[in-house]
Amino acid sequence: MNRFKRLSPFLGGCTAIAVLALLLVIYTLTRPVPMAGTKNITVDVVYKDGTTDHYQLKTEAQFLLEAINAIPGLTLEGTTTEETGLMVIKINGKQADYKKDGAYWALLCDGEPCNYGVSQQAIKDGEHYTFQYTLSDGKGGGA
Amino acid sequence: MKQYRPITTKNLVIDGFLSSLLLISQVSLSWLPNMELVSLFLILYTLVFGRHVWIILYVFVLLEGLFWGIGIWWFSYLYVWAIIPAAIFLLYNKNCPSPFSAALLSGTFGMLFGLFSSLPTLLTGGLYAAFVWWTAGIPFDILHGMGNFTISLILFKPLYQLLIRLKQHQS
Repeated sequence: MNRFKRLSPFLGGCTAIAVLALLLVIYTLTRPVPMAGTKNITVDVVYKDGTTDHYQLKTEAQFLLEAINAIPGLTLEGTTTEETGLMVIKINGKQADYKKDGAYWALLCDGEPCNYGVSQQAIKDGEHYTFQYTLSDGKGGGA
Repeated sequence: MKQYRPITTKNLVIDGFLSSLLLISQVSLSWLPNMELVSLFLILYTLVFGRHVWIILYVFVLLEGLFWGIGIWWFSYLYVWAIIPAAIFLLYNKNCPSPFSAALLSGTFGMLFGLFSSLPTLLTGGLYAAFVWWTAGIPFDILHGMGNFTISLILFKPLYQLLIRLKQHQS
C-alpha cells in the first residue's frame, strides 16, 4: 500500500495526461470544420400549423447562425449559453417553448437532425436546413 | 464479521447539512461554465465520513432533481457522481491522498464527466447521437477538468482539516 501511495501521484499524473491527450485528439478529429468560400444554402421554417417559409441565400459565413443573421425577414430569438450557443425559442415571433408547450424548434440538416446547434453548425455548400416546430412526442408542425 | 454502528439522529442531521452544502455550492457556481465544488466535496466526504457519503450523495441528487427539474441529465447524476466515492474507496481505502493526488483524481473525473454522462443519450438516441453529444462538449470537459484540478489543489487541505474538526465534534 505504501508503494501504491508513493506511486499514486505519478500514476494519477500519467492517467490525467493520457485522458487529456485522448480528448484533444478525438476533438480535433471530430470537431465541425467550417468550409471557406461562397456557399448556396436554403433554410425552411415549418411552423406549428404546417405553413412553411422558404429562404435561399448565398453566403460567406461559416456557421449557420452567422448566415441566418444576414437573412432579412428571418429572426431567431432565444437564450444563449457559452456551452451550446443559441437555444432557439422564437422564430419570426412564433414560439416553441419546451417548458410551456412541450415543443421545440428541431434543426434538421438535409432532413436529418443536425449534430450541433444553430451557433455551432458548420455550413456546407448546397445544404438544406429546416427549423421544424416539433412537439416532445415527436410530432412536427402541422401534425 | 464487521459490526456496523447504527446511524444516529446527529449523524443524519450532519449528513443533511453536508448534502445541502453540496447543493448550495452547485447552485451558487452554476453561472460559471463547468466550475464546481461537488467533486472536491465528494472526495472529502468519502475520506472523512466513509459510507455516509452515499446518503449525502443521493440526498443531493434528489435535491438537484427537485431544484432544477428532472430531465434526462438527472438520470446520469444517479451514477456519475457515485464514481468519485467508489474510486476513493477503491484507490485509497482508509489512506488520505495528497492534495496533488486528490486534484489529479478530481481533474480526471472532470475531463471524463461528459463521457460518463452520455449514457442516457446512448440509451435514448443510440451510439452515434451519444458520440456526437460527447465530442461536442469536449472543450467544456477539459475546462471542467482544469477547474477541478485547480480548486482541489488549493482547497483540499483546508477543507479536509475543517471536516475532520466537524467529525471530531460529531463524536
